[in-house]
Amino acid sequence: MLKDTVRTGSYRNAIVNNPHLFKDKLVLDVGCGTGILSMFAAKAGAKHVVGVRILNPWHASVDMSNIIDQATKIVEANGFKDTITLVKGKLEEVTLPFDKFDIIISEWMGYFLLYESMLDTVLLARDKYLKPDGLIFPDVATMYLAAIEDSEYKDEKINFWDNVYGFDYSCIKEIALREPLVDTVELKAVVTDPCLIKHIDLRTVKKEDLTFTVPFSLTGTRNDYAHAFLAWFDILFDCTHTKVKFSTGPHAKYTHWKQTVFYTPDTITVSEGQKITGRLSCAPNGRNPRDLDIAITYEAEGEPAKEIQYKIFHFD
Amino acid sequence: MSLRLPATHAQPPPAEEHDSEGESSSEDEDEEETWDDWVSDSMDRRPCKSLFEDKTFDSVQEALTYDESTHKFNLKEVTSRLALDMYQRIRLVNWIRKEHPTPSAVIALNGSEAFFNSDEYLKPSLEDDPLLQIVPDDSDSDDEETEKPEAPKDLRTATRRIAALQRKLEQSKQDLVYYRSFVSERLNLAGLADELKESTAASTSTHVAVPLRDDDSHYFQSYAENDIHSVMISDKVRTATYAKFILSNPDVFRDAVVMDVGCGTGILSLFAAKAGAKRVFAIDASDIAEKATQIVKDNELDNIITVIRGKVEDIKLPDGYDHVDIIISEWMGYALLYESMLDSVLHARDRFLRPEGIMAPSQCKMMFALCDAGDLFKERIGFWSDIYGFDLSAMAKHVYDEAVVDVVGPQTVLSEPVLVKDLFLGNITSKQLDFSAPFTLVSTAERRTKIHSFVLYFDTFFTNTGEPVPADTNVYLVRDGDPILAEVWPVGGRPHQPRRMSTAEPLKGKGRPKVTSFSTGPASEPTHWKQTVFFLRDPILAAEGTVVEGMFKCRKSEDNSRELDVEIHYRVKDPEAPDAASETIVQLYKVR
Repeated sequence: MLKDTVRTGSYRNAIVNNPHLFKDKLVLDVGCGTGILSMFAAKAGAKHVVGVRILNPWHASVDMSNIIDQATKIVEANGFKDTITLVKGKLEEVTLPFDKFDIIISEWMGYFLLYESMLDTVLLARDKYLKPDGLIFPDVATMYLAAIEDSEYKDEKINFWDNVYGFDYSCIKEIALREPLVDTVELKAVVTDPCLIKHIDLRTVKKEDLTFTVPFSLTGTRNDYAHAFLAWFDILFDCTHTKVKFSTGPHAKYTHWKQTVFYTPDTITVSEGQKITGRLSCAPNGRNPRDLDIAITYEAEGEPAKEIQYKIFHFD
Repeated sequence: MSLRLPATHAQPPPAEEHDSEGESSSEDEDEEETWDDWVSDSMDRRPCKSLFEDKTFDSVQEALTYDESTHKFNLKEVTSRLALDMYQRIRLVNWIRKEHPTPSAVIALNGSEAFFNSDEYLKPSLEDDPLLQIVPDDSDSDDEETEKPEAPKDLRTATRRIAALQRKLEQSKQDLVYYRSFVSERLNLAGLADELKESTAASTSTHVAVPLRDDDSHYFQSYAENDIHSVMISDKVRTATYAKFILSNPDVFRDAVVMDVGCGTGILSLFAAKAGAKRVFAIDASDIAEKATQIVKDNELDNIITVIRGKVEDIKLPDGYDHVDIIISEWMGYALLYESMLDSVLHARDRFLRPEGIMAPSQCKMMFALCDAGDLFKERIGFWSDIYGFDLSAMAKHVYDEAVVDVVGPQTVLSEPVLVKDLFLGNITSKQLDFSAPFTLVSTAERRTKIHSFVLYFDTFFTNTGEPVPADTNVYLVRDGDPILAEVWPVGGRPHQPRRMSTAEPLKGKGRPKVTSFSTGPASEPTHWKQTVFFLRDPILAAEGTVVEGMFKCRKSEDNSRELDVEIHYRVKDPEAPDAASETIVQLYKVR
């Protein structure tokens, strides 16, 4: 993930270029991983940084348990032994060397922003450890939706199952369709204006707000056909001097989050200036909260409304 | 882990193993070294120095006995009291030899000293130290796993042992905390999590529920996801070669009873039914079996194909069927043997295949070569040394401990590949899947270069008779854009043109089987198996003609039977001075 230069570079700019925010502050790094964000904070002048290696909201695989040891070595190798303390364990259970912190930094975002994300843990940290006027890096996340022309790839990924070496595999097609695809999409494939569907302010958002149903309205930008909806998110460090931000959208530089594609069973006819309206709802799966249930209801002009249930599920 | 063994340790392989064809890769049971004894028995009869004095004895045993009688120091006792693993024991010996502590200082160690974790003390303090090369009395730990260490003789020993045990208990408690959260999140079993919580909270309780290890359920779960089937079916080299073999051998499949082991979505069974099979039993233990059933029905082949859900070890065939004529299976994993579905296939063979029946594929050959995967090296290792001005190279360490599965281009291969394991499916046994094979690789590097890795891949062969392929058979290499299916299947709407068989078709009656094959090597169009790369801590400096010889060892991991432990021993022969002794380097890897 460190190879994602947009991500790591944005965090670096937000932290290292804002020493006035970090000087002599106590910083909590939630989900510190390799410790890179903690080191940025130390470099920006923090008095002390505590990095918590969050064990497994979702990824308690065995080989991750020693990452803290590697992180400890890395912190030492870079001369931050005295400024950075690394702790592992669940946030609810660990004992931290300080009761309250001035700043929380965290890279918590998952695919489709919320899939397997650590946002719950960040909110927990905020409520328990952040001083009343403390800062959160980042502090704003926004989600967007658009429709895309994607016939070629849909043939390859979905219609593929209609004829597999001459055999009928269409029963797999139905499952394939319900599983959103994490992939990069070119900007020219987008056939509508984007629509903001969710604004999350980390300073105030509550866990319940992450289960939501929102309306959307997409205006066609040309006459074409749409085969899927496309979702992405932007991240903003609103408290920084230059308001550092980055996007994971099709117009922006590649990030490892890519975009999320929701194929529709039918092709949608898109006309310039006309609207596709609908609702998107998102909720953790009742049986397995790790999975995300997403439903999209949409109505193109002159067409009856359709609803499709999607599920982003765990897969390794 | 890598260890350097001094030159005297390297045993020249027997003459016939110098055979550069690599044909004679230790298949014979007699020749085959077992895993445990690869440090030769003669090792403990080599001169060995006392740990505390500058005295040399004729054998390791004599030196240890002397240290015990003169200095009251028993290495074995200390090793077992402090519960040292192999590397900690090595560090201990090197530490004693380097720092010259008194015997009582060594006896007073409690196991938490920093040097037990320091890489510095992995380096032999004494050149060619036989104490580092003997296996510390394996027979004991095998038989006496449950036996308690002998009772402490005095209070000090007892106190130290208690301290050591307390540390271990702390560690176990911590492990349990991780495990608990792992289980509860991963399996979402709130009830079980609570139960475990109770059992840790009541630490006086003598009963701790330790869930049994189950290497299988995760494996079968992940295969139930449909994406992986898309990946596998879309692997054209793989699926098309199976299709080509099955559909171009109707004489083999007509009226045959076929078993498809690990059928997945059932594609191979469908091919077999199309090729004229009388009956096909498609076996799979994962949820995908339900989908396979549906697919078979959708294609109106349910009168021929019967999907049976279960492990092949447990299933029963319908009445009237005891044996099958052909077993087809796509069991191959990364590095061929990772995920070891082969055991199940061999089980099916022994239980269900009639004598003279055909295994498809019938043979797999594991190939090994020098590889200069420079880009991959930069990506996986070089990358970490400078991240926004920080040094994160600690993150790269595991790259040397785990094999890397990735595609390397044909131009990266810097030697003729050699055969390290020839698996003939007709008669190989599970036991033979743990193996060691000598290799001799000759560099084809055009100029002097550092070689950072070895590459491993496999070639897969099908014969219409089930016989082994003739030794001179070349594997068929699919290259980008090849119309691999054109001979047997109408692709993209193009009608199938029946045509004269290609000249490559062997003539009947000449005693040569008809061979269909594919390669997962760097020279082929990439498959979903990619290649397996082993990065070297100590790169090989090579020019054209440099000879690298050594031993490739592979066995199932003891921790998880679906993982592999690989050990590579190698030494470089200087072309200028081929007889000069050179040190042997040993590096251990996990394939997972």
